[in-house]
Amino acid sequence: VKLVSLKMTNFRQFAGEQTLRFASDDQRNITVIFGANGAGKTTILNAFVWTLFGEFTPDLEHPERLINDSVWAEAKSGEIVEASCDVAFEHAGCFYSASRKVEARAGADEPQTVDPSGTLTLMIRDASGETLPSHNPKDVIDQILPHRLHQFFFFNGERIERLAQESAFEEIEEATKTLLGLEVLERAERHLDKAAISFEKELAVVGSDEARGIASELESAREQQGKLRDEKEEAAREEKGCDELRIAVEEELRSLEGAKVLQDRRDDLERELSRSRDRVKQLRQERNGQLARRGFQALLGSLGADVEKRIGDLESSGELPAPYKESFIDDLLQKGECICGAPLESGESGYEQVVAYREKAGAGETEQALIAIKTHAGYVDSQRLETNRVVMDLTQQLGESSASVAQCEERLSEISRELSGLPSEEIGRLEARHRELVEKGKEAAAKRSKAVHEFERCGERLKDLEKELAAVEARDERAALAQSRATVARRLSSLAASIYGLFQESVRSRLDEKIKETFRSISYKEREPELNERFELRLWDTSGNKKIASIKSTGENQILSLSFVGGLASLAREFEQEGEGSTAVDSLLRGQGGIYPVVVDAAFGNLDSDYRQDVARALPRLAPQAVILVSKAQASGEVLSELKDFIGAAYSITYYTTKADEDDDVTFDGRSYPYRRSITDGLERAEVCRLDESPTSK
Amino acid sequence: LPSEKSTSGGATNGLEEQLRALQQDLDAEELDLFKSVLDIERKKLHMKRPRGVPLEIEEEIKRVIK
Repeated sequence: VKLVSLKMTNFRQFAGEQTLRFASDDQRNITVIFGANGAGKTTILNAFVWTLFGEFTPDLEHPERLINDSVWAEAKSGEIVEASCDVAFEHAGCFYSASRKVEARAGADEPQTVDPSGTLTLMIRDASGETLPSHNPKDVIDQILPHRLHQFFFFNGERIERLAQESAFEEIEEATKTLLGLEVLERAERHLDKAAISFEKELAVVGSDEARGIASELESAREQQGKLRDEKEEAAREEKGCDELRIAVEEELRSLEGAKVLQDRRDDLERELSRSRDRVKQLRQERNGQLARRGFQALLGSLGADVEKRIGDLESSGELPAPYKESFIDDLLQKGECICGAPLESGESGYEQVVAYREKAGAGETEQALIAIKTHAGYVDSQRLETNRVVMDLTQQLGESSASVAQCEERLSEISRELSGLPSEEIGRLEARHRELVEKGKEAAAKRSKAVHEFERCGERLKDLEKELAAVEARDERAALAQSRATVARRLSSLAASIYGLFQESVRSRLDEKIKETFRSISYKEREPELNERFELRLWDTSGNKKIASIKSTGENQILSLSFVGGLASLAREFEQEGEGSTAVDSLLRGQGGIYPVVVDAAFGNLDSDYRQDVARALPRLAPQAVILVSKAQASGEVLSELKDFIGAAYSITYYTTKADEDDDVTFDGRSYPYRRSITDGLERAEVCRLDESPTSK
Repeated sequence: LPSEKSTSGGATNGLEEQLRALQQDLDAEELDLFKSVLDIERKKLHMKRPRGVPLEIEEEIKRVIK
């Protein structure tokens, strides 16, 4: 996807028609748009999101006021007023023009309340040059720019840091799924299951008594599984809801003077608690691994040492190695002559004596084995002691980390008590709500774990029943047919599930690599990001001997999240290239991929100057095309000097304000352009100005 | 199902081997049916409320398994 232009008509701050054309040159792929706070940077980001997806970013206030306020205020009562945005883009040799429009009838002094969903139209010009309207514009856009992915490519840089927080991990998993085209397999599994159920129902009617019995058991087990699925999803939603509300309460506490210090301390403790819990989890896994691999050694007791001693005793007493071998005695008996020359004949006393010696003779193989055992016995014993030491060491560390968890929890309770004890009623009320939400969250988590466990058990029971049903002999042809259809549907559903699992892991590990690559190109610190098996985005401190969870600043969270976006865009490009020339089924299984631009509002918002420079260096490589919305202050010297060779288009949003003496300019490429202008006509508005045209000075 | 070509993924060859292993229990007829099912799903993927997909899949199974 290559963004070509954006036209806004009476949209939010922008009165009249304003058009931006975007740089898409391979070398100069950056379009930079300067704008003061409130001038309309977030509006431009939202012009894309609204036009293409009918939605807004969470930071856009009053989405019901899409029509420019001045235009609305000036409209006569009863007049139809409209606002619209047009996004033009190219994709796979076609030119697309997506347009969304809202209209409302103005009433005398009535506030504006338009339905923000608006009307979407999409015109497509294909390779032949013919332009036609699309009958299903939403579906077509979703195919090109998947809805599930838009938040990763059209975003606010200051808010993108939330991707590094727990609440976003599900979104990350979903985005990855979309990127890979895993939804096809997910749906295939679900729908094949439904088909199997339908055939099994048929079998329940026409099959033998036994088949009918199993089919009806299957049906009720499936019903039970459905209930459990609902229960676990409900509990997960409840848990997430509690978390979100708790975070909001903490945000409020942070904004209150009296509670800020304690809330900040709680934030630190929460981070410490999370690290300690991760450590407990990691140590448990490590100890379980040790016990699974080497735990049997504990059952050997002193066996190794005993064996070593016993063999040593045999050696000391001269019994090992034996003075003669079995084969030597056998030879004498076969020849019928002793070494002293006496004849050996069966039944005589000499013969019997030599036979008795045979019992005491050593077998070569046995002796060799004993020598080998002696060597190993010592090693087994030292290994047992080593395992014991490692497990004890891990247990001790586990104890320390568990104590640290308990300590953090205790200190968190203390903070909660301190907050409740503060004289402010507001703080007391918020803290009581916080405690309630923490408790509710814990209850929901426990409910979810229980439902997950029961759901899994029910799944196992279902699998057994399905196998039983497949094994029952069909009574007649009709039943046999229903049975084989059900079996095939089940087998294919299970194949879809297995391929799904395989691909999910494959894409996760590739994405993990891409994130690491992008992060390394941005951050100078010894940190390593990780997208783990649970699709959690983590950051590790690798500066010491041991890899430990890093204490992330807002800036680091932002860098980590940008690395995720960069990794996602890069992997999407790879999928797109891999998909070229492959068959339909191959491309299905390879994921859809795509080449996506990024549109970033406040890309450098929370970063200090070092990080700003690093991000500026990474931006041209983040995606093949980037539109960056920045304030003059955010795009200070080091940012522009990093970006200057990549900027193909630059704009300033000139904001016309009714406040006096607010004139300000932005300097770009040695020239000044209008940034803010004081006006006296009373119509506050914004206009875009291309920065190679009409400078205010040279 | 998987193509023979190698890709920049590195681990893709291993992935293709695993994919083959998954499919080895299926006969040619079942594999074709699986491809058809994926094609049906792909066509309906971008529809917000695709109707009748399970039914379409059921019909496809009936057409193949007679």
